[in-house]
Amino acid sequence: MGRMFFNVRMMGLSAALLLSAAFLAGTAIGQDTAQQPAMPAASATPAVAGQPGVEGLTTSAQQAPSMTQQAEERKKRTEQLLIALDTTFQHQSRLVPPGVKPEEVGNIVLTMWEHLLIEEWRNTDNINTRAPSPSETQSGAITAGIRELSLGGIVFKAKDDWTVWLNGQRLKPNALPKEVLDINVAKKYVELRWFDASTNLIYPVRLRPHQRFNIDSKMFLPGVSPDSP
Amino acid sequence: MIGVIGTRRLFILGALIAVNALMAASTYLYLIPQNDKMKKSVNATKAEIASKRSNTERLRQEYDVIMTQKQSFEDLKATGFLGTQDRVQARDWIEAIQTHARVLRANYTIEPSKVEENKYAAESNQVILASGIKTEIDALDDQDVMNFAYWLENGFMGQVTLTSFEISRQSDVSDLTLRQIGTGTPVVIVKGKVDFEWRTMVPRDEAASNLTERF
Repeated sequence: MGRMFFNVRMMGLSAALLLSAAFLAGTAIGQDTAQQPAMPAASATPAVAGQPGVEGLTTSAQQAPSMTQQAEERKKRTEQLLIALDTTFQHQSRLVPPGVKPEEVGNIVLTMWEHLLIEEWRNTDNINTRAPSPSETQSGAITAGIRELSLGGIVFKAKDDWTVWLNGQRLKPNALPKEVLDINVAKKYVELRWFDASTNLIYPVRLRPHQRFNIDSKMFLPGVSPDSP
Repeated sequence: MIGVIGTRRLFILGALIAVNALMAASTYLYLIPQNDKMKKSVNATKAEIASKRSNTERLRQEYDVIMTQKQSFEDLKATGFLGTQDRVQARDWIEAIQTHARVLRANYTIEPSKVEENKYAAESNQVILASGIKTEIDALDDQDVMNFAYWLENGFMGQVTLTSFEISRQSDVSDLTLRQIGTGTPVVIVKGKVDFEWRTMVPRDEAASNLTERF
């Protein structure tokens, strides 16, 4: 009987312990849930200020502004230096008139056409061209293909019966090089669309006999190319 | 005869002669010398006025010259001729010229300064500091190399003289190089070697201390 009483007491005690543990646990859960809104409240502080997500941005953007700032500072400094350079040039010019200008000298080691080509390629922003592959640049071998189209002559009989000599090569309606995408032969001229693989461009050209077209300089020149056989 | 003329008339005649003599004496002894004296005084005053006028003209011309010289002095000061040769500033300057001339690379060395004696500078206790600048330039175009030399000669601090200019072609302008240029790859087509002599003027003491600090 006493043992039973002891067991009942123990059960009561353990129940009480369980209850108290449950209460404590419940209190703890209540604290967690109470803290949960408090956590975003800290991160939401910028949101209150009307800048949602600012905190997230600050960490990732901390490096970006520093880089852009550096670039801007460098740009600003270069601009200031260029202004200072121009000012010094003005002062120098007042003291001693500057000598011969480079434009007056002209080109020394390049031809005028080469100079113009370089200027054109350097100053055009939207050049649609393929960058040279490493093998091209490393080997130094220029696999540019034909750079000049030279028309030797035309034998015209009919629209589909003609012979033209392009770069010393005989072309017939059924024997055309792969670069010729389209060709229209007349008695006195040839109209063709030439695909240049190196620049990835198609050049529509109208050539007369004994006329040539330079693909690089985009110029029509008289006479047959000395390179053509 | 006295009876014919009469004593009274003779007396009047004598008086008139005496007055005449007196007038003559006053003219010759006082008025003429006084006139000469006044003329001299007028001439002296006129000469003084002319001298003052010429002085004024000279001062005006001198003022114009001074103003021109002042402008030249200001220009010299603004170009950095009257100062020590600051290497850090020179580096910035060369970088700016490199950017302006669009050269791909400009490798440069500035030699140690030497003191040059100049008789005009010595009058104001100044000396000339001279340093050689040697540059090696990589560029796309020969005009860029010439632009670099032009701007360094005419836009650099102090007084710069071109002493040597070499330019050589490194590669042909082919479609490969043009494609490299078009896609933003730097291609060295032209190389240049340009030497300059850079001079500035500093007080003798400052030059001495400057050289002592450096070595």
